[in-house]
Amino acid sequence: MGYSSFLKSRKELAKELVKELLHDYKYVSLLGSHIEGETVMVNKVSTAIGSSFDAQCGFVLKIYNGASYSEYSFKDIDSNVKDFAEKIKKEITLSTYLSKKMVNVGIMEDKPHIEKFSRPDTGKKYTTEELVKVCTSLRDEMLAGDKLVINAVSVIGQVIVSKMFISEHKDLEQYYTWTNGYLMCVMRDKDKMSMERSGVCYDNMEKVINELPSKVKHTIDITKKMLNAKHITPGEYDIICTPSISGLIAHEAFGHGVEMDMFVKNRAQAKNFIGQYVASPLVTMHDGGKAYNSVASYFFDDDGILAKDTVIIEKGILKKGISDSLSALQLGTIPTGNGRRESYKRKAYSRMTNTFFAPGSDKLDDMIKSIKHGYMLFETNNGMEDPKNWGIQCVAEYGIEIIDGKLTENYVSPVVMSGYVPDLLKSISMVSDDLEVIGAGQCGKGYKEWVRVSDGGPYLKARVKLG
Amino acid sequence: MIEKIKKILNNNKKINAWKINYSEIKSCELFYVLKKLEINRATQDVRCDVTIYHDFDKYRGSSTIVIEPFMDENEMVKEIDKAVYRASFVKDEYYDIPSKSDDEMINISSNFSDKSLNEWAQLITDAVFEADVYKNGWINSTEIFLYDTKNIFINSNGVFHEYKKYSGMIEVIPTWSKNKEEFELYKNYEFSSIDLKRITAEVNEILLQSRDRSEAVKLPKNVDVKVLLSGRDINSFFSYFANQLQYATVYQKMSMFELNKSCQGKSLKGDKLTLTMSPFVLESSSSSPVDFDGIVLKNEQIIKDGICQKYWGNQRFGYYLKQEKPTGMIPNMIVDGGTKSLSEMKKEPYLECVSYSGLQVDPFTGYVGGEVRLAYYFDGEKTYPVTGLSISGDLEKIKENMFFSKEIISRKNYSGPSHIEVPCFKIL
Repeated sequence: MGYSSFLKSRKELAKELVKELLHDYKYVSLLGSHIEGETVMVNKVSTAIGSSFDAQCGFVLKIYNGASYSEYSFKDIDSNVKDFAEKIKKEITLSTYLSKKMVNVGIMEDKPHIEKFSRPDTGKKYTTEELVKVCTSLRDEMLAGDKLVINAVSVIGQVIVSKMFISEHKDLEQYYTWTNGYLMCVMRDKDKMSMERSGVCYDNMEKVINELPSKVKHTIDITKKMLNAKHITPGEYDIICTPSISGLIAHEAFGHGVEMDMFVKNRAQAKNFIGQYVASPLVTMHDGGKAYNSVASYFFDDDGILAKDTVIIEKGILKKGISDSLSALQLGTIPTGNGRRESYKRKAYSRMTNTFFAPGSDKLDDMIKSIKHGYMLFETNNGMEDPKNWGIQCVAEYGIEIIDGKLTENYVSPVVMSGYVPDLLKSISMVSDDLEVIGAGQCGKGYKEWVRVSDGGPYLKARVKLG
Repeated sequence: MIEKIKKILNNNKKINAWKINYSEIKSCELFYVLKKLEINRATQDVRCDVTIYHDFDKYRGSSTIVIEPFMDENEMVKEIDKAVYRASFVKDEYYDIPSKSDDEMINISSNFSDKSLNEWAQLITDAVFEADVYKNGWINSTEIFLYDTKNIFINSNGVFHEYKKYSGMIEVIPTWSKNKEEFELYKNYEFSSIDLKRITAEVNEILLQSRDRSEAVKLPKNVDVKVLLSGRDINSFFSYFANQLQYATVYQKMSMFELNKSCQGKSLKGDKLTLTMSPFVLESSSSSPVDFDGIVLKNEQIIKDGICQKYWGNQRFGYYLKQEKPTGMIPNMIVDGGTKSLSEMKKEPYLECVSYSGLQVDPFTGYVGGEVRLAYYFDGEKTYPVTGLSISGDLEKIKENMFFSKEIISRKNYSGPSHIEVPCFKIL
């Protein structure tokens, strides 16, 4: 496996098409996207082996129409480039009525850059048969792990990403892979049911396969604990966030809040707080395709902008946001390489990549000891943001009660954390010296536009409202 | 392309059965910031999923691959061989695929075909902005998506369906300004037929809700009143009941429901639930005459008066459960109205939740709840908007004590009561 032979075969046609369209338009770029890979899933009653859930193959053109931008998504480049260009022109041309509504944004910068990037999986290669064996063995181990287990699921999936970006002055290619492994255990005891998941992810399938078995016992143990987990008594508590929950907070609290297409729309309060304290001075937060090696690490974004490491919050002060090219153009800022599309069929928005809090200097043991009564929260379930009004809701799969500085055996599930973003971030009083970034998630914009993201951080101590 | 694929599939001796799901998709998309068009998009796409079934020992293995329109015959053969190789490791219990039936496929009626997608997009733009008339409130951003899809389904048992599907989605972010502070909400309106007046009304409603959010105050402490659930997330509440009766859930022993028994607990005090799965719901963008196995879909009542009547779901798990004629995956839910009118529900103090950051229904923990962005609180004397609160409840208790409004709404994949009255939520 290597960079897509399909994209290679269309490179010259892609250049011809861009050149042809440049006769009529001042800016034209073409993104070719070919995502391959295989996913193997084994559960008690089924095995599924198929293409990666992210698999896609096609192109999208971005064209400056004299005021703003028009896009055309399609499957393949017709070899009759002239006729194809004419067809595209017709497809993207708006009625006079709609054309008059176009905003005037100017032409995107198109600095010359020719480069090929590659990050192949350097580990052992596995056949489909070997992957099925690994997944089957993990499933069987979980099914045999406790008599209450009624189903067990193991999944290994790899994505193999090839993208090319062609404009008048740019010719970029990138190739990289990512592998996720998941385990899920379901238990039933009469009328009670519980479910718990674990995951491992690397840019190396061999590492995933070597590490996944170590999660089996933990997955079974936690699933069993969940059977008898209680509902939490709603109230305000001192909490310790594990890296998964720290990441969820980073993502929901100030990740979405600094996506700069929201600045263009005046939909994010953060726009007015640049340079101000929005969090405890212990808090520093990053985002970027280059900020950490995880599921959202790439070399250039879907606008052909090189990935960066953006420091969003530095010692409690909001420094800057993350942007796609069109938002940056309208705001007069430099794009940060965060223009991402769900697929070639969708628009590029300002999106998070790898988002995380930087580690501090506290020790986890000291953090637990400092709590008289509170909870340690584990495993992201989901979260929702409200960048305009800074409301936040984060759901953790479970929490463990802390009494007099010690973790107890009292499990609660699920745990819903809600509140006002600055209150939550300013309440952070201890930050551990750990750092874990977890690349198992997907993120939507509103309720759509799903892209893979990672998030994480150290352990954080904060005070929040739990329900 | 389809004929080429069929020939390759029929010539491969290791393939015992196959199905092809083919779609040609056209879209027109407009993205507005305020009333200015930021970007327009058009797509022309083709998707061809081929599933092959390979029988060995006592098993039926399957694998699905994507055949791209640009592949030549050799590349198609290679991809299909890859699917056969993958299927040889899939040791699933044998199941049949659907055979040709006399069931008549009814096409979805839609007015989309009356005009081009571009013409509709322009009319929808006007319909959205017709509601944008307030001094202190406005539409911050609007996204309009219109899709025209031609679908073909074929399988090796002679099943063939060809049908058109139209769908649209409008996402609107309304904003209201009060005392130099701005408040917003979110609206996602999906449809399969275009009603311009309804679009204006939907946008107007969410604009007025954003006004109410700007006036919303914190709920007084320790309020303990019945909750009226409404809004877009009401669907997810009823999906729980539908999912419990799916063949796959039942076969995997993950269902808590049993046929001919109550799904609403032993001491039901509220309204009895009647739930029908339906291929068509007016305006639902999920409506479809057939499922991905080619089964012609029809209405199936799965719960009547709180008693489980029927399992439903896909061909494979239906076969395992020895269902003579599996229902197929039916996309919409129709829930019968209840015993109380909305005005009756609103006679006593209540908290009417209309906008959530996400209403969660967790079948494992029995948790139901979420953060509420806008609710209306009636304290017995006056009604006023409130915000910054959460609700949480126990599904077991809710099931026994909920009432459904007589008023019916239709949205997304749901037609049913506009409100659910629940007396036992904790309000925080």
